Amino acid sequence: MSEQIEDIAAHYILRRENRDWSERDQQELNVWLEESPRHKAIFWRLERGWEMSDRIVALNLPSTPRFSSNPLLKITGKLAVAIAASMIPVLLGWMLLFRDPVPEHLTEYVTGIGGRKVISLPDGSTVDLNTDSKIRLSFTDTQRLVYLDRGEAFFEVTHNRKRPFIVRSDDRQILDIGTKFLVRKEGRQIVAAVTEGRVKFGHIENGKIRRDQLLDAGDRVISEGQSSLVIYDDKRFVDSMASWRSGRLMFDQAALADVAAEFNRYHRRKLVISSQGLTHVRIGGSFSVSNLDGFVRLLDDAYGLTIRESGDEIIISRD
Amino acid sequence: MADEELKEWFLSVVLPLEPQLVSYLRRFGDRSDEVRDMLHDVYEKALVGAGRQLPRHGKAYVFAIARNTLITRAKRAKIVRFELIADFEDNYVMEDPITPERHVEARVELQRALDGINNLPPRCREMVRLRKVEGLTTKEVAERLNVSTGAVERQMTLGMRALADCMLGGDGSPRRTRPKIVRLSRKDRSNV
Repeated sequence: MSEQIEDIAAHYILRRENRDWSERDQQELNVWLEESPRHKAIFWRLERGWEMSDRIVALNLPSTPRFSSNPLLKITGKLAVAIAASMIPVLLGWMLLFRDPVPEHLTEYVTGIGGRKVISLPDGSTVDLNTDSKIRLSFTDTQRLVYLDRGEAFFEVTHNRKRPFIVRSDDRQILDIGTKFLVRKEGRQIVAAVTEGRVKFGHIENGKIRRDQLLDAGDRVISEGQSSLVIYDDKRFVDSMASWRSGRLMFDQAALADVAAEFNRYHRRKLVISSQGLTHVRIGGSFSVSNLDGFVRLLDDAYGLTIRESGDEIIISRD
Repeated sequence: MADEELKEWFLSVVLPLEPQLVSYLRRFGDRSDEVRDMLHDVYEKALVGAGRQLPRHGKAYVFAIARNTLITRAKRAKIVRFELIADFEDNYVMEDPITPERHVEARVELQRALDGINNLPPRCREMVRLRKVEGLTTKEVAERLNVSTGAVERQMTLGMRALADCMLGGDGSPRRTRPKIVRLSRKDRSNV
């Protein structure tokens, strides 16, 4: 009995990784999951196990010779573990690290709209990748580099002073001092927020790090162009920034336009506010990320707004 | 309770117990398919019970369910002697009833990944490698290896399940529903 459920779950997990996974497919999966807690248990277990085996990426596997039955290419355990365990204790000043040119071919992780990926890295750190995001990894003996090309990611880092963990986005750099922080890139604006521990945030100019700031838990920095604004000690806000990790979006007196823009990151159907006066209406509360229709109904009930659907747009107006 | 909360609890409290759960459930017998089925029973019941409110002592809660699952199976199977049932019903003494699971070292997890991938049949291993390391989609893997997408899906789902077993602490040998081959003795054959 369990065999078939595992088989179905595995097929869903596999299909979901393909680019043509639609909202209808997601609904189908949700329905299947809701059918029984056993489905959920088996699915969540497989999902976690599959994601944990991403460590394979770190093993530098050669391709298997044409399916021979002799395991000619079994990688000796010692070698692989040595690769993981060796850390050349060269203490490069973190300013010099930027001398490495940006490599072209790196391990890439991408999520689509409404997507989400939790990646277990070979060093024990995890990256929780939010909707519509892209990161590239460059892990070497001396450093662990993550390029955030698009979107948002939450990092839980295994600290290692001799092998620093660094996130780069455009010309900004976040050095992990330990342990949990979030980075978000939206157009030219980069936001970094610390939920636990401490990071160092800086601008990269001419290959050097300038204007670095130490950020502790509860601090966040909003950086755009030449300037960075640090807001200290607002733990509640920082925690709400990461609420998508529990599938929720939280707002505290946010303008409707901003709330709509947030929802739009996660859904193909986009909220459009057509009445000028509406954009500044203040919204507060905690909403389920995936339940777009629920949020729209709420707007209707609470504010008496008119909702109209046209193609891929949900148009909200006053009359 | 929100699904996300339940899932978070399941992944951080329940799943890390898998190695201990599997060795505990093996008291019933060594048949891997039965052990796996019981493991899933435990997980299912854990979710049902925790659905309303998360238990305070996750490990104790999960092992209580495991004990009940064993007892139920043993009684149903009717092959276990009375003394053995009494053995199950004794309070199962756990080493650390309260301490949380320690984070498994990164090295251990890397070793598991290595074992896992090495234990896959060659064809399966190559497909998983193409998927994980080169990031090819199912269709691209099929084109690269000149096989059907169906074949790729079959192999990769098997590989996925075996790897999950290994990463979560089991032995990771890929299970395939092998058809039972029953050898007829010469005597039986004459009656066919």
